[in-house]
Amino acid sequence: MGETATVGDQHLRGGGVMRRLNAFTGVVAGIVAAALGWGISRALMSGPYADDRTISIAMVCWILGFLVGVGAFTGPVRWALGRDLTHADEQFMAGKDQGAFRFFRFTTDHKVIGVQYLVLGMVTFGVGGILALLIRTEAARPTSTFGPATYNAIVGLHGIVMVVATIIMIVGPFGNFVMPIMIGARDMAFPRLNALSFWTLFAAVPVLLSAIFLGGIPTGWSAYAPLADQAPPGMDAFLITIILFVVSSGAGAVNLVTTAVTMRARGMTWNRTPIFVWGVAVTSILGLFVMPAFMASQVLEGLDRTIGTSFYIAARGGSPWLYENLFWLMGHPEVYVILLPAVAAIMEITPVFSRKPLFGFSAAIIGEIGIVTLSVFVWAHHMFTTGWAPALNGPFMLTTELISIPTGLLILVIIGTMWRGRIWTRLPMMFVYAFLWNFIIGGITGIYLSDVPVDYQLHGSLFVTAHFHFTLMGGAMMGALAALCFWFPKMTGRMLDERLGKVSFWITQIGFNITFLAIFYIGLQGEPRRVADYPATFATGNLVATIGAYILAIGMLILLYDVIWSWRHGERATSNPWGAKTLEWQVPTPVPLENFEVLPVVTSDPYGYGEPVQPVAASVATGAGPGSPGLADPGRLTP
Amino acid sequence: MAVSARRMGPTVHPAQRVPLLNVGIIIFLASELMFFASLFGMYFTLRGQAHGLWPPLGTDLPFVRPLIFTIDLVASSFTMQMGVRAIKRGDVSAFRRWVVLTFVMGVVFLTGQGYDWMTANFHVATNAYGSAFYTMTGFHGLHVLAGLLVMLVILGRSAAGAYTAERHAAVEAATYYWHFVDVVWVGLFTVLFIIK
Repeated sequence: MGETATVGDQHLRGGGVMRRLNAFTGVVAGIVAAALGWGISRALMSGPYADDRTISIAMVCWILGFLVGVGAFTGPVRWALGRDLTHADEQFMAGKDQGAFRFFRFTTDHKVIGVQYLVLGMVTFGVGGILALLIRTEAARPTSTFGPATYNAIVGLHGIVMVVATIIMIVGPFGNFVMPIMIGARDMAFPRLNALSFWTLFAAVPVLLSAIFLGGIPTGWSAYAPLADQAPPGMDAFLITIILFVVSSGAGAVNLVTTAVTMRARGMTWNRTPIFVWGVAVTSILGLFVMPAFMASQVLEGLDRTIGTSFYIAARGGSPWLYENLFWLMGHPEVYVILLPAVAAIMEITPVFSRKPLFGFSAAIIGEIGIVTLSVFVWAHHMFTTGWAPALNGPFMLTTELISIPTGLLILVIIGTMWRGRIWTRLPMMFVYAFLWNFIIGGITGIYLSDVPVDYQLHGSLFVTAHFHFTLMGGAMMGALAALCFWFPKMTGRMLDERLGKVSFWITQIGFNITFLAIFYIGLQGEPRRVADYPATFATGNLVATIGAYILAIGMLILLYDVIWSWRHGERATSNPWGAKTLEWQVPTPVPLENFEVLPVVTSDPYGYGEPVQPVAASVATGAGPGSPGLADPGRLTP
Repeated sequence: MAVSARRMGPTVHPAQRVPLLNVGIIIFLASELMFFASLFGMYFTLRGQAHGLWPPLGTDLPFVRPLIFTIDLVASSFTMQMGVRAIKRGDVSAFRRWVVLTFVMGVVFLTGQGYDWMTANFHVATNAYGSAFYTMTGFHGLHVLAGLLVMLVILGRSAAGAYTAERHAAVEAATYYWHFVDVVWVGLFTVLFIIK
């Protein structure tokens, strides 16, 4: 259906001006715009705010220039002028018949965007990982190697790069690639908005990295005012990055929620919707509600720095405490924005490798919604030591501890699914085990930290650092790696090499646990975060942690090699190598542009593992057209 | 099924009944609401942390003039809704008249706000109150401006015959947005001009 445009027919060849635009023209236009903005504002501005204004204007010009140059506004402009895109134009924008070049364009196909996010995510993790190694290199010896200012910049950048990378690591690649197919849709609700979301994030990366050359960010990733008011122009780069990131993730989240709400296949009621879709939708809603607070905190910071407002300057009636509230109002729910999709991916993967339906589907949903609801009532536990009204410590301690109940429910669902299943230990499943081990350590130390007396003792120590690395890296990132190994065959058409993957898995896990168990220890001893040199008392623990970090890095490099090698030379994947039942495995690999030739009608829940698995022949994957997508179980999913 | 070739394309779900744009805009507005909620939170935090008088001495705001402009903006929500009703009946010319009227009322509001900005005896860098006042009304003003631009686009597309009784999702989406801008202003007016 809809195949009206034939290749070579000049009249129906869509695209128009889009044919000449790509990432390269975007970069050129962005640089030209930034240079113009910089030159003009440099010539016109003087006074105390001139530097910050000039740099901010240049950066905003870069973004707008880049987006114009990459073709982000072609569709809306043509719409506003009443010359709507034709079907052929849309086909062109979806990347039809463009080969690998479509990955460097403003392509609207959700599968292309998913792969773009995957690569961007791996690059961001690479940058953040190198910064992490620099941190551990500095901390290996009690004396300072790089000097405090450089060290602070490294720590701050590591923080924000990793926060961005972990927020996008599941919703970006797998939410975009897998989710629409999983619900039986042809694309996202707003394909152009989806591409805009990706390219905005892409354009934010150079802005953030420019902070290194603009004096760094001395504040750490939390960018506390009023230190941020006094910081060098690197701070402007930081806050513009955050604003862009919130715009990008907001656009993505609107899209994901709208898609999940309105575009599910016929018969896919909410209780037949796969748990991963639930997780992505619920997380996106949470992100939509809390990210604007982050944006507001940085907008106000930017106004303080460029037009002389005094939101955070106490001398003129402002309040630094206001910043802390706005920041943590986003900051704590944000860790659940990172965690929930990871848990959802794990809950999606566990039934496949346990050959059992998901245990407690409604418990899983109650757990997710419970976390989302409670997470917006816990932010002040980051501020127990600020000297605010102590009467409020109790309620915030209570809400924080309550959140362990829905979290525990999710762990129960995962373990309950594995219980008495026919567990098939492939690489994705190993990451599920790692998730359980690491996340339970991270989660339980979180309960300690929420207790006010313990927090008074441990606030600002490395114990906190170890805690959130166990939850976010040991926990959430294991979910992302499980998802990567699980959906790799569908996304790339090739199997991930399992032997190398297992080698990498063990090295990574051992390195990770050595590093952060040692950091727990030195945190309990009392070493504060974010210091470049420390007393000799902490030397042994720090050295162990540094050795662990290098082991971890070796493991990650092996995994990276494995991914790159398998992407190019791996064994060809069949359409359903895991014998899974959700819709994305019922379409051929590689997935055709329109996903489904005939939209599926769903007649049962997605976890029908009680029945014998029908072998899915390898020929189905490559040979069959999209009309007979190798349905493993025709009684359950009627095409 | 009576769907155009465009709607049968790979990017649009053919079985779509609810206009996606309307669902999307409501979700977007929920997020926007949280941005303004953060600004309100900012205002009350500064107010709660302030030493001495609030608003500080030397920051005087009129009441009657903003009230008139508030009534103007609230009324413009109703005129916009009349426009949606007209297009649902298929009465394109009435629809255009209502949108033009709404546009004029929006311009009147923005002009009034600009006049208030010019004549106030404090500015954005005077103190935290000034920062809060100008930032909150300024972000709202930007949203009004965006709404006016959207109305211009809608009028232009309507001139090209884009909207009919069956196809007007963008009009409804713009209307939701306009109501949102209006409701936020009622909150701002209450907080900045009545409660203080």
